[in-house]
Amino acid sequence: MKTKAHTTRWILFAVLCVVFVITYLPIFTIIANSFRSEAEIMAKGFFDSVYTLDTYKKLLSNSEFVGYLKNSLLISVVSAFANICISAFAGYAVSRFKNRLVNGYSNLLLLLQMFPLILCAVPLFIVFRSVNLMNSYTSIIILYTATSLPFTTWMFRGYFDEIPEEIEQAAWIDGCGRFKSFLKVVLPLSGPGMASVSIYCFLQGWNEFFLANIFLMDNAKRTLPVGISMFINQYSRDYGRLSCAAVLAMIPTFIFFLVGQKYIVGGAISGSVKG
Amino acid sequence: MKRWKRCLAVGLAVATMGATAACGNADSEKPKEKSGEKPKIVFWDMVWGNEESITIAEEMCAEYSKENNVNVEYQSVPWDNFYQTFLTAIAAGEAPDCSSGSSYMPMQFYDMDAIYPLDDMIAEMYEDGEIDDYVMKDLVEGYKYKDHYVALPTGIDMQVAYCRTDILEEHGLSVPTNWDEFRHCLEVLAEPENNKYGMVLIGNGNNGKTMFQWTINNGGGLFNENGEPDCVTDRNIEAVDYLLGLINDGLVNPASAGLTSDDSKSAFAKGEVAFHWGNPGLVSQLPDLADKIAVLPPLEGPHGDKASVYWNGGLMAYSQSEYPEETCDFMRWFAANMTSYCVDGKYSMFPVRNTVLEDPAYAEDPVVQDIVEDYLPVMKNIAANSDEVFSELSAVESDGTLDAVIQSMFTQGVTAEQILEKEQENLEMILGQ
Amino acid sequence: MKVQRSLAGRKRDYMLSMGFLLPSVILIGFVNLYPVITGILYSLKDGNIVNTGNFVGLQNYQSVITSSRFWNAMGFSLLFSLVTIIGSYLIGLALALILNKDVPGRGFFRAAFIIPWVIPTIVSVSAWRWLINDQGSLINVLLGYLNIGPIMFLADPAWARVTVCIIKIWISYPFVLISLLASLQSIGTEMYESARLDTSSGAKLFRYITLPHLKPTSIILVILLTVWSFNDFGLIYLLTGGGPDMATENMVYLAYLYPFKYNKIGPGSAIAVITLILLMILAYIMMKMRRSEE
Repeated sequence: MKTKAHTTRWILFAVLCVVFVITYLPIFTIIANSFRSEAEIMAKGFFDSVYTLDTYKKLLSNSEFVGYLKNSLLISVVSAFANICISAFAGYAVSRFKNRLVNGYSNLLLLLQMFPLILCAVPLFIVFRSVNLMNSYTSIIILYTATSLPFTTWMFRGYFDEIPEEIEQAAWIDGCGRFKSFLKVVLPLSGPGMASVSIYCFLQGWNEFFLANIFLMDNAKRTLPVGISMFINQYSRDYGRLSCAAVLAMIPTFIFFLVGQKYIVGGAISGSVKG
Repeated sequence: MKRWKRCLAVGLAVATMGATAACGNADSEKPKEKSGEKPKIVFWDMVWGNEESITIAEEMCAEYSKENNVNVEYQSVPWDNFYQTFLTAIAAGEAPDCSSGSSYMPMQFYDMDAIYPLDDMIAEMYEDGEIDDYVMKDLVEGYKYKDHYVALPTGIDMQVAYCRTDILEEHGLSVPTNWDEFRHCLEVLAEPENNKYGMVLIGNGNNGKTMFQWTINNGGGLFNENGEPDCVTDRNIEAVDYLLGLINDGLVNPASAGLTSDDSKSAFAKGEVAFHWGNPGLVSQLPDLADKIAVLPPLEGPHGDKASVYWNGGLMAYSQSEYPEETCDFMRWFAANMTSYCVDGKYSMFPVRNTVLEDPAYAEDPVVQDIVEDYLPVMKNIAANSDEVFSELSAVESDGTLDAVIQSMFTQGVTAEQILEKEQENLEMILGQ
Repeated sequence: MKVQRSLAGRKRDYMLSMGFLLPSVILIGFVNLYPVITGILYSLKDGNIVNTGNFVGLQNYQSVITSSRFWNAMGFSLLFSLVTIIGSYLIGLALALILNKDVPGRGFFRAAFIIPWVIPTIVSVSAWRWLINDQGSLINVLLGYLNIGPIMFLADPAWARVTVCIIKIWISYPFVLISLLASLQSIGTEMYESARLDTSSGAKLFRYITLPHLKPTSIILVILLTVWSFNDFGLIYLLTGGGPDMATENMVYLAYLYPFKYNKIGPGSAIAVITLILLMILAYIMMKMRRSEE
């Protein structure tokens, strides 16, 4: 009986390994290609290639590319920060105040997840033009802050739901109002929640393509995903450069997941799935 | 603990209020023009040549800025998604002062009131005799739209046919001159087992050029005299039937539907195909193969037609420009001094100014002579057989869905009529009829 | 110990709740609600993004609905969503069940499998493209050893559809996996213990305890997956551009082409509105299913 369970364990392990290899095949090949020269990618196999950092050096000394990196970083960080500030309050309201207005609003947020962005893109384009914000970081930061907002509000709600109101009541007895008890009691207790929301927002901004492609037309302001798609086509299918740029674009994602994996996985779930 | 809380509170306050304002300073770096400074002109140039062409153009702009009371800022625009780049820039009020671009862009943008007409400048050029420097005056007139000149031509893009003479010789073939001979060459050249074919029927990322090329070559065209889509005609059916015959008999690369012009070019360079339809500057981009490549004159169709499709390329000025006169002066200067830009930058279009063509790099190039002799006299634009050009051609020339028609030729059992009806439907959709 | 809240207190709470929501409401109003209403108006107009033109009634809807390209796009949107949901749900569920057991390397796998979901689409596309691009690409070489192919993954219309779906499943299954895993872990062992006392078999445990427990999470997952795959633009745009032969063109991509390629905002907005209505109907049905469950 025990050996049978033992065998099953290892069979399952083998299944996981197979899925792992299939899942990671594209990622491993792109990482490997990023260390090979264009000529070797075209002509040689993985095992008889020379692996160097040349492409990385070339790419990181290209001011255009470094510009994309900086833009993406700035936009993702600022929009994540702005998002936390707004969605924490909204999430708290949705979690604590059970009146019609709040419930209606929280259902509206759920509905908003469904709206095709393309429907909003043209009107937003025209609005931003009329307030002279086209082709600016501001426009894209506002957009990213808002598009993640429904999801992050629900994420926060999930976290705040788990913090019992009794803890706050102690603060009320001390004469604090809701606002103070939120800042002093609830927020400090939801560090992991803030971490996961900020990681979520950062990655949304870091990965987003559609809006950045439309709203930032100046090459000096483009973000990494759009930059890569343009940059690569310009030098027609240079896989060495493409792989290298793609790997650099993946790095923050990997780091965040090594560091914040525990928080974000739990966070994304409790927020979204509880619904 | 207390300090941390205060920090948080301050942070929250700053962020909520300043989420937008905080990053506003990053945008305000665009300097508003101060009095006493030189006027600034922004020039967006498409990538027409190699990487060096960008450096050359930047130097030209710097030189012009030094000698004139104006600062020209050069920006290279990648072709990828360029149409959206221009359209959104115009819509956002961020248009450049002048630019190069695709062929029918100036007409379309003119209809959107975004183009500054060049009438005065071109009238002056006629007076000064500068127009005589153009290989064909028709080119300048080709940019006359609704009685205004909407752009100044700088080059012609064409689908020039090239062949690898070494491969033809190896197989004992002579250079084909008509459709039958061409088919015979493909029959001899096809070696599916080695992934070698006579040609790639480019079906991806080529904006329907392949379709224009073959129908117009046969004296057909996708429009009638009134500029309405008119695809299902005898000549077009004949052309498509010919292509279907090549496909069904396995004479073209079966992966063609997914292959781009670049793929075809690299297959041509590697000797995997013997024929390639490409831009006029191709040979200078493949210097190692120069003595193995020859220009194939436009093939003669079954009725003796041998037309070839071309696209006008030029510089245009935008109505949003604050300095239209300075912009025109710059454009005129740029167009007149393109020799190094074309020669060293490996200009992909065919230069239209005699000053450029007199440069030894062009004058002594047999390819150029062939193009002048064989192609220029039989050129037709994509509006064929319409009497006039129209602005919707801009959407047509940059539309990938026309490639879909080439792609659908690789479906089993499809007929020429079905394909052309589909093309008709696509064009009607784009033209909004 | 419970603090009594007076009527005045509740009124204050009401005001306070509005205060807490205000920044969010303003932003959502500006970026979502206002544009949606304007977008619906644009679907009745004939202009472009420079000049939005005049109202033309329902003409745009009429021309959209009568074009075969629109129905082609709708067909692919539905197919794409359906295949993605089924594929990523089944794979995600299977892996979640495995990872819920005591398997070696569990923590590692749980972290590793989430990566495809979080990397930028441009990276996924670049990585996959190199594997499947042409006859000589890695996957075709591998298939060659098995005497299969070469397959034109992106050039053949049918294969291109399959490829886009597979890559979308590759992107989405991690989300299903982690969501279901979290839900599985919240099943108390007592529940299984008490059921086991009733001498239920493994299959019965799965059928009567695990599956019903996963149902609420699953319904939300299906809604989210539907919305995400229906509204997917990046993958289509970057991988196939809707080709070959429009085989992978979905509604959102078509709605994008009109304003930004064909210079007309009307038909594009009309398609977006139709997409929205379709999604709302789908979501409504699923929410109904969820309610009836409760």
